[in-house]
Amino acid sequence: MQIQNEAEEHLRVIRSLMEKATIYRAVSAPTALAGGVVAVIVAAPPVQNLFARWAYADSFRARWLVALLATLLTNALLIFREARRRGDPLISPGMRAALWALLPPMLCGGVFFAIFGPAHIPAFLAMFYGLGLLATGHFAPRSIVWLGWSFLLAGLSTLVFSLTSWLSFGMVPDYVMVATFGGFHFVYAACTWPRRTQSAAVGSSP
Amino acid sequence: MFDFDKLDKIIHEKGRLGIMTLLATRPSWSFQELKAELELSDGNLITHLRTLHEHGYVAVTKEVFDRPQTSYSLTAKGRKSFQDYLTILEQIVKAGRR
Repeated sequence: MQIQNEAEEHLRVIRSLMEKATIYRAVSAPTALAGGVVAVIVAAPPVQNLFARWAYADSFRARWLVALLATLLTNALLIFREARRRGDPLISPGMRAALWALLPPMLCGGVFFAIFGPAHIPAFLAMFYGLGLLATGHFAPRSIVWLGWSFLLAGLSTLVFSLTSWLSFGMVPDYVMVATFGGFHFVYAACTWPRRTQSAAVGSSP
Repeated sequence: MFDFDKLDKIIHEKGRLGIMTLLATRPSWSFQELKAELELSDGNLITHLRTLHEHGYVAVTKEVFDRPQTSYSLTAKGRKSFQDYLTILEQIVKAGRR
């Protein structure tokens, strides 16, 4: 009986470790930090003026498209570096699962981004991004789920406010983008940034 | 009735079992990653890794990227032993439920 309990306990340990090891974080802390910094940069008045001269009426869309591309590029570089360090394939099974989960909401976000004007873009982008993160929830750490809910709720609130004329007064789309895609990502990066631990040199040096 | 001596005593220890389990999930793990995931002290982890390495279950690779780094992976012998160990555990649990 004792050996059976021990076997069950060991199988539980194996299962829980395997589950933990296969968790995939679709947004890493450095990517979130990069996303937050880029969001603040593209919303800065000098950058707005620069894009206004270059992209005229579509300055808002052009700036945030550049922000998205810059963040995606940073993320790709970080993933490439990490995969090389670990000796893993560039597209890991976890990443493939995350991309499939993110695809439908991101596709919708892209279409809404192309169709709607700046007044509604922040709400839709936040909602679809939040839904995308939540879609990865069954293999993501809890922090991703919290981030997903934050974006979803912020997107829904923004949509309600933007459709209610007396509440939408003073709501600047760029501020909403900075508060969500900038602010939420900064908080997420601060909470999930990997802490370095000191390793004592015992025996063979790791 | 099972011959419990068949249970691999090298793997049948919680610390080493954790290491073998993690190494089975992906091609290689760095020392720091194993340490963070298993929450073992440096000394404990090194001792277990050394035991597994001495029995030919774990391969050690030392590389230098930005800084020197040691990574660990399962050898073919280690993977086979882990699979056999799992099979025996499952048989024990099934037998107890009969």
